[in-house]
Amino acid sequence: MGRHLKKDKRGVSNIIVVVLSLIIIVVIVANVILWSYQMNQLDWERMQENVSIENVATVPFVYSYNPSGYTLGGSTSWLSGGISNLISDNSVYMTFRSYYSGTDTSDFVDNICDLYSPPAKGTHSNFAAQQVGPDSVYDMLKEENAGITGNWGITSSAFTLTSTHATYRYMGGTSPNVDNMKVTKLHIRYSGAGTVAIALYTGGTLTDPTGAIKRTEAYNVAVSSGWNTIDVPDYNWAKNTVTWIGWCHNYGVVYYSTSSADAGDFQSARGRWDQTYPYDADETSPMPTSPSSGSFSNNWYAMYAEYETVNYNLDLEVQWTNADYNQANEELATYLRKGDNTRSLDATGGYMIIGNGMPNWGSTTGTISFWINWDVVANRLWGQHDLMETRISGSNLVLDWGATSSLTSITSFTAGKWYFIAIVWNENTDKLYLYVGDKDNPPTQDNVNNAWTSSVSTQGVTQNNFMASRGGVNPTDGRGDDLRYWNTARTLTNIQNDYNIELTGSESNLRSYFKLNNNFDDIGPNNNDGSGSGSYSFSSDVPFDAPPAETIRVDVWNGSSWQNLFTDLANGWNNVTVASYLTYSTFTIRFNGGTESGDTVQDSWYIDVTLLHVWTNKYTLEVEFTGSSSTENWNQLTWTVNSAWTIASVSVTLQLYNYTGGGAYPTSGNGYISYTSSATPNTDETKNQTITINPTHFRNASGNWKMKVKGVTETSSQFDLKVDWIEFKPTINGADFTFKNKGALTSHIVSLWILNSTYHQHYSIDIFLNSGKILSYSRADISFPSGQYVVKIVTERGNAAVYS
Amino acid sequence: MKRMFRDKRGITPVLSNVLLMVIAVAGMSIAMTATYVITNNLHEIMGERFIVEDVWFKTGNTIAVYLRNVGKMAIEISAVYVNYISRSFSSLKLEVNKHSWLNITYTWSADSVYYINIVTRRGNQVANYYGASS
Repeated sequence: MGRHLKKDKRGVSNIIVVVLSLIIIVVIVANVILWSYQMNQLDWERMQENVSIENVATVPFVYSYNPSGYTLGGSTSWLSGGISNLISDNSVYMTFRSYYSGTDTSDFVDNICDLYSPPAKGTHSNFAAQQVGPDSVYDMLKEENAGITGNWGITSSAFTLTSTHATYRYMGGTSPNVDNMKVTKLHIRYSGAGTVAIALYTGGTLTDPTGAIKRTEAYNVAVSSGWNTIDVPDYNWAKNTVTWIGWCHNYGVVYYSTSSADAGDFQSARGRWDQTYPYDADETSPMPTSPSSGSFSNNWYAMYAEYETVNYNLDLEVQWTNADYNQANEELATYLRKGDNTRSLDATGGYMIIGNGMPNWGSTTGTISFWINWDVVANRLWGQHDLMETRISGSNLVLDWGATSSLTSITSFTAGKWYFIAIVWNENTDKLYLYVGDKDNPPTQDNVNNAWTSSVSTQGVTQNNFMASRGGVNPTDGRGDDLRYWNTARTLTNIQNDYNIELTGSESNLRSYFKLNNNFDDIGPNNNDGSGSGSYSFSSDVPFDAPPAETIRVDVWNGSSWQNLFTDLANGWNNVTVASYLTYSTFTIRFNGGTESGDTVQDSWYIDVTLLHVWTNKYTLEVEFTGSSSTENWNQLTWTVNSAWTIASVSVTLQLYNYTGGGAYPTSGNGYISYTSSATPNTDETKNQTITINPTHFRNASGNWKMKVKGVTETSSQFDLKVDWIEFKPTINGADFTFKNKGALTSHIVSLWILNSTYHQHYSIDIFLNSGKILSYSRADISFPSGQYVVKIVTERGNAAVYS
Repeated sequence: MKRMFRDKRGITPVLSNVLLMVIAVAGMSIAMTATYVITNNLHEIMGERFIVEDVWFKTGNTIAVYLRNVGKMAIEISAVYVNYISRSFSSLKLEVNKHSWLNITYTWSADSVYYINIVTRRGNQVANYYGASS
């Protein structure tokens, strides 16, 4: 065979072709068979597979979130701890501190009014001062005399007889039966022009005036035809007292009647007393201290005394027209200063030595001021050198200021009256001023020397004295007070601003200041404490700033009557609650003197400020916590805050932000919790709320949420918040499936279907279920539809199982 | 070599052998290629498997069929018949183990049963009756 093939060359090729063809056929067939086997295997496994859905149920899925950040509200401050402390209720806190958020208003009084009975009495010196401060600028409340006025004597204008004479004459009678009278003026009916001296006397008897004593007078008074009113120093006149009006005159004549029926208030049994000595009466000089011997004549002269009863009252209303009456605390507050000028220096032949007598007040520019009340207008008031002193000439004040008679006052001074005197000089401008005032009138320029070329800065000091001059020369009788030396030429305005208030001693340019309140202390920077010489004392008669002798009450108008708030105001702040009265925007009080009948002393009080202090104490704490969560379709949300407050009974609100409709923190209902914290401070309290209606409204599309914790107390105590635990816990209804593999092969479940009539929802799953096993499979993202539905699963091999 | 060029009789058999070898190799190549093509087509046809996971009669004249490729070859749907009539549908190719909706445009009626036949490019098909619920 082999040889045959070897010899037959064509046979070899045929064999090769056949073999190759066989190989190809074998390959094709083998390939097909193998592939067919594999696919049959696949189909066989699919037929062997048997999975089922044993059960389907709804199960809740609960998630828990905690804050991841916070924002402080208002002026709330962080104290300690961190966000990480808020994940559990473990008494490890994050702490915040509250801030003051109350209202505190000082509402100054608005205006003066006179709305309610009784009518206003008294005066304000500067009401605007009450509307600002306290700033040591005061409104002086001064009592007003609310007494009656009357005349005593002959007031008739019908007399036709006239008389001239050269003697002192007197008309007498008994004073009215009226309490607290004060004679203020004397009147005389005159014919022609002339000069009169006239005085009021009390004492003696109706049959003999010689024992009477002169009480008040005026002399050298020019009179004219008709009734003349002559001002005399006030005299407190006792009732039912034998009283005489004495007079003398020159030139003109006085009207009189010879009929006792015309006696008026004078006694009708006897007419005028004609003093026999001296015969030549001097109307330019004081009247005699007492009438001397004489005789009565049946002539009744036309003259009378004008008096007023003294009853100093204070009843001044002030008002608020737009008061805040809604605050928890409402107080009336007024700052009062009572006068403390307790004494003046009463020199009765003695005087005061400034320092050791050698302080030199002869500066280039300067101001010396003081108050003086002469017993007798005479002698020298102040002086340190014969060319730097003051002296009385007649009834005028003369300044020897660098030269003799540098300036003379225009004012004619009288005894028994307080005067304020200020001497201002400036050697640089050659000016020398004299300013004069009194208790009722602020100082004004009395006289000026605009060409004062002298100097006092070169004169030196003999001895620096008050109530006398240069070593005790010509001491004056009377009372002096509030001696001040400034080394600058003060303006009139400056002088007027403080002439009637006591200073502190530290005012600019004030060098020496003697209050003379029972001592000679210099409270100015020179500190030249003085001393007294000769006969002197300290008197309670002061020209200003006298301590009030009575109380000052403050009442409030309650709509129908005055109700007392203060029975007396003390120095400094006076505060009283008015919450029960401050019920409307209009609020009226009055300052009322404590003694309103028979008050013979005119008192003053200094009010710096009057205001309504209304406030509500309040502390607030506000913290906003933020966090993130899932965006699934929650069916329930529970939010919880566990916290403690360091004081009792804090009003707490917890709010969970609602993102719908533009977003807002709810003020009621879902997302809102309010409560009052425990009466025991630092008590942990857990507050929570479960929201089942639209819980997804409380997070935004990204799953972010925020909640606010706010605590408020209307107390004056600051408090802290200790936050222990904050939880944001949504719940969703998921699905739970129970699968069972009844086949012999492991199954791979790859699809899950939830089907109903309107929707077919596919979920990819990846579960391997071994043969004979039962598996519970839960999904939070699967929720069953309402009504009928079918659950279907599909395996990787293409088998399906259905549950309905 | 020199003798071979001198012996004119030896040339013809050589040429004949060479030509025969070329023809044989070419023939084998053709045969091998044909074998590959034939077996590959068989593979693809035999390896196709897909299932219908769900049929959803949707509003808007659409029948949505969810297909899953459970075979060993990628498939491409080439025809869909509803009640034996070809219908338009959304183009769909599924790789192995992939799944997706196949949307068939068809005006269906509730409470009716439809015979839906889905045919792949290789000629495999899955057909079944599906009821449209009301």
